[in-house]
Amino acid sequence: MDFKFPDVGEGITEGKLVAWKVNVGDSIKSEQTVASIETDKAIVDIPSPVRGIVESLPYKVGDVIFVGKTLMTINEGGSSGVNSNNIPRQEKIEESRIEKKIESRIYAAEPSRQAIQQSNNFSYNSANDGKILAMPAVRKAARIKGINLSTVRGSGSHGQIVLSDIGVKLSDITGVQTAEYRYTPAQQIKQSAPAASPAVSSTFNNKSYSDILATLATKQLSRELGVDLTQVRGTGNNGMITADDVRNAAKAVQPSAGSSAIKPEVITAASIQIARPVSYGDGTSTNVPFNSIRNAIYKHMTETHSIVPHFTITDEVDVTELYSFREKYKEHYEKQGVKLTYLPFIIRAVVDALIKHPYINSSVNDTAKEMILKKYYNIGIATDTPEGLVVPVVKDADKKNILQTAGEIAALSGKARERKLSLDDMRNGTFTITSLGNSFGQAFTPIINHPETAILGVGRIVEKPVILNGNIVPRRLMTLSLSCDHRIIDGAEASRFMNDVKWNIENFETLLLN
Amino acid sequence: MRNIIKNYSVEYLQVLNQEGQADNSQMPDLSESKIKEMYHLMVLVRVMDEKLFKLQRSGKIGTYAEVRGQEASEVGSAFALEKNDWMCPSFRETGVFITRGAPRDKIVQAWRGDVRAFKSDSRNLPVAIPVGSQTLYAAGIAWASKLRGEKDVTIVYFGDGATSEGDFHEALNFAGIHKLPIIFFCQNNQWSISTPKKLQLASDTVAQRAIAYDIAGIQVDGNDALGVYKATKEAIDRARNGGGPTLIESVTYRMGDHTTSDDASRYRSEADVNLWKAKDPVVRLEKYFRNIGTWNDDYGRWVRETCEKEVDEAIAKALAVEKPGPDELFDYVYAVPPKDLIEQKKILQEEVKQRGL
Amino acid sequence: MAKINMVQAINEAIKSEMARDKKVLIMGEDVGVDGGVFRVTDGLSTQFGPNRVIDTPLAEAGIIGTAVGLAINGMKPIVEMQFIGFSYEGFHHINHHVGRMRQRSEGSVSCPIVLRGPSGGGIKALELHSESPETFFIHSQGIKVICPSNPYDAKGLMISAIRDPDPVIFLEPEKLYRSFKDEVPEESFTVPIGEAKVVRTGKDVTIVSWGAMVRLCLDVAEQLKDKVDIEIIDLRTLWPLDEDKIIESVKKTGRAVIVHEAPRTGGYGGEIASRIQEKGILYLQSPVIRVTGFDVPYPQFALEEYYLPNAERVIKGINSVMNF
Repeated sequence: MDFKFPDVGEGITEGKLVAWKVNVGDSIKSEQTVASIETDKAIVDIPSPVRGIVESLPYKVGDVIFVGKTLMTINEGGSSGVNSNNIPRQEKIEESRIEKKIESRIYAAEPSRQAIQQSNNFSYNSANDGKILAMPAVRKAARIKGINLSTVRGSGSHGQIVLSDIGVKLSDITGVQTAEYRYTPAQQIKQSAPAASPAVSSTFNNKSYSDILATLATKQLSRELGVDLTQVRGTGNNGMITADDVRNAAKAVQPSAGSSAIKPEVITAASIQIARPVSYGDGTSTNVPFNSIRNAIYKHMTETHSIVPHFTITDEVDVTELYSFREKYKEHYEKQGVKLTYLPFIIRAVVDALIKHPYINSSVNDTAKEMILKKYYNIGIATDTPEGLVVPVVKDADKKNILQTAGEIAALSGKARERKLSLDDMRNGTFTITSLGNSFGQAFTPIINHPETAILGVGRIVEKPVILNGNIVPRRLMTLSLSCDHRIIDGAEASRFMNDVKWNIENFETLLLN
Repeated sequence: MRNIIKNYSVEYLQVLNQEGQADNSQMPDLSESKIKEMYHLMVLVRVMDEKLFKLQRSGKIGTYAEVRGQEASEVGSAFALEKNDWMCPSFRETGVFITRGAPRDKIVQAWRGDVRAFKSDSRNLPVAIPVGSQTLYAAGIAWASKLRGEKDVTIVYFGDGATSEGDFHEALNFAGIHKLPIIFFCQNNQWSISTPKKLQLASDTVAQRAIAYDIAGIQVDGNDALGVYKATKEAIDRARNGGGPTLIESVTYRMGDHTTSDDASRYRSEADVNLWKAKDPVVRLEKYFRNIGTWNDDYGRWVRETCEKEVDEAIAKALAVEKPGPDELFDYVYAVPPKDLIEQKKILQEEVKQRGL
Repeated sequence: MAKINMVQAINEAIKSEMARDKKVLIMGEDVGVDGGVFRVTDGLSTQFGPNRVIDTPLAEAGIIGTAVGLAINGMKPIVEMQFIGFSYEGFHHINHHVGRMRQRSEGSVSCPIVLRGPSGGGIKALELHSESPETFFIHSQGIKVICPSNPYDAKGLMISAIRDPDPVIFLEPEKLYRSFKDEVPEESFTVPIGEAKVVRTGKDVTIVSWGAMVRLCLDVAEQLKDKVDIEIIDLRTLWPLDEDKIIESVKKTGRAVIVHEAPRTGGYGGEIASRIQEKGILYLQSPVIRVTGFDVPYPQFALEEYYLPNAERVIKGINSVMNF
């Protein structure tokens, strides 16, 4: 047998022969010491692993022997020998080759066939000269589609090539539907910068903002409505752009750079995503990601609450007469397809009061430190949908009678339920009414639909004992809660407005005459 | 005023002197057959030790720490333990494991780096490599026994070098404060690799360190099996009866190299070693038997042969065990493997399959 | 030029520095008469005597702790940990004082020690003899951490480390102590601390590694040379990290694989991967892959070959970045 120099431990790879303890031809026992070898750490005595006859001792004293190489040969058990003369020379030649191998190949373990096979079909870099900037996802997409990225111009931030530059969607690569980027990074940066005061010139189409012919108020309005004044044709004197021009333009255009006002996120039917609850973890809770409505509300409420100091006035309105009126005629109008709720009456009452109290139908320009008193009356109706709160707007409510208002409310609610509200349906409100409905509370503290400056909350109608002319009589009462922006509206003004609303509702007949 | 407020002393015990003559006033309470049992175990330890050394030289086990010369110290002390007592070794307690009844093949398997060899409910802790740190957890083990009102004691083994580690001092201090049922057994074999006692210890004896912590201490001739037995038995009884800890310094000699990776001839002389050859613990017991007339050479031969057979069988059994696999690497890191480890084990199993290991 | 192994290279470095500067001393268990269990300090005791080559008691906290004091008071101690895993016994000194002394005193005192010892595995050693604790030291702050992969760097970096005014932890891969020889100049020379080295140039994949694993990666690169062109960066200094060299390489190749012995989670590979994606994400073709030890304590040596990264795993790592 070839007795190989064993691994005597702790990183020893070679040793020097100090002495043989046996001779060729000796009969040896198992464990008998056959050689003394000096390693860097110690002189070690090597025991024989077997019983037998020493066949060959191919080294001489002073020779270096490597671990794993044949130290000597032993004829196990019996006698007779193979001619051992050639063996030492062969060993020596192999040894010098192996010496090199050990120096370069310390790790002898061979990898598996599978590992080697996988390395047979590598996809090599296309143009990786450090000049092409792209995320790994884009590079992979390019590889899959066979696109040479060096020919593509990057429109992303830092000049990177983005997926849309090569016409690929992320889901094409991952196979999983995920939210697409709403904006590419470059656009997003432009979007998020709020428009500053008129003093800061923002250039639209190389035209300086200050060159545009429009009053300050009109310019502010244009910022509010997100209208690019350079795209508006003025119909006023000398081509001046009027407020109406701006409003008309607004009806046709998507919002671009925002005003100092904060707008709720654009919600279209296509963009309303139903949030699916996601459970992960230990089952003690469920995680529900924001959908787009929730996200918009979240942002809106946070911003409003941090900017606007609210106060709320509540009062009870005696709607006993209105109640009887409605009871009397509601079936009649239902047959005509009109749902007669209290809301159209309230709207009419509110609008009438707003006309008398222009500061409550207003908004604020924080940077210019001016109040914008609106001469149009778009009443937002806060509407609850399964996806969350939306506020469709009854436009020009001053120009509509109660029936028309009722009709429009019904139409808007219907659209809201079917998630068909358009952008236009929800824009340009000047005042909002929010109702808790017939089954819920009375007074509450509604949060203003900023940039409006006031909001009216309507509680449920309750029959209560009231003292009239010294007698206790049952009357139907409805609690109104008016929240106002205290930076603009004082308690006195709010109270006066509230009184007018209250009078209008209690004397609704006067509204019918208008 | 200037007075001596305390006086201390250090005790030394020897039952059998170098010639195997017994000090009858100190004889422990052991029957003839028990002493023969102890002798048999010491021979077994010696044979196992010799063969383990040779196995290392033939590449069949990894680095091995010989116990040659320390047979009395290890067997004598372990012989006094009950089955339910706890034993915390360092890495040079092959003799203790044998005396405690550890399966012989598992001992060989352990030196092959096979962690499965340490799986047991024997109240023997696995070999501890970091020097001295085992004294602290041994104290903790003793502490738990005491808190539960159990009668079990703990013995912890370590060398002279370990008494330089901070952990050792903290352990004695804790044990002293709480009167823990623990025996601190120091095998002072005079060497920590190449560091002789005078460079290792500021104090002249290890036993006197007990004084600093107000615990019992004794120095015993570590090559005297009966002396070691007696000292340990006293300490065990003390611990079991609520008397607190004992520090035993067993004075012996490391006849071999520190481990199979060491070459002691670099730092100590043959003469020094030869001095201790004359104090050989196994031979001393033989001398004792001769002195009292209970020895015969046939018996000696029979013991030797029986031990060789036992060890050869153990080695054959251990070498036949297939080496451990991916399970051993991952399954015992946590009580229940977390996700990451389950995944990593799968990766390794796949690799092992592909590489045909 | 003479060809020597890493043990001899480090021995030469320490010897020459001790001869040049009387403040340098070396202390540790068995470093004097025995010349160290790996013989790294062989012959030093005879040449410089027991006051400069100190055989300490078996007390790592004591060794490191007193070394801190020696350094504060003007000496330059080289502290040997017999195996780097034993430094855990004195780790609180590393964390409490070694890395903090300068900052704590606003520079009035400092701690210029070199703490060195055999680290890493691959030689079937006993438990705790094969540790890779680099992240513990790096994360302690105030310390430089070095790990050479060949005798030439070992000598040059050791000399730099001894001369460095800051504490340096010098991890010597025990697998590489004697496994090969390199041409190393006989005279003193320095290799700069904080500088990585490209030990093999390539254009397809960047491998970042250190210590014994560098040799493994070189082997693999050689094996796969007809299929893929691998660039290998040997960090040499782990901290401070030569980030620029890594990013420069990744810009060229677009693919990175990090190979280290230490367990995966919390290993240094995570830090390096993080920097690569921070500075180089637009150049990446694929995720950064780490080939590491498993998340288990370094096992008893019968399981060592399962634990350590090997050619199989490195090749699989390369496959995954090339086939992304």
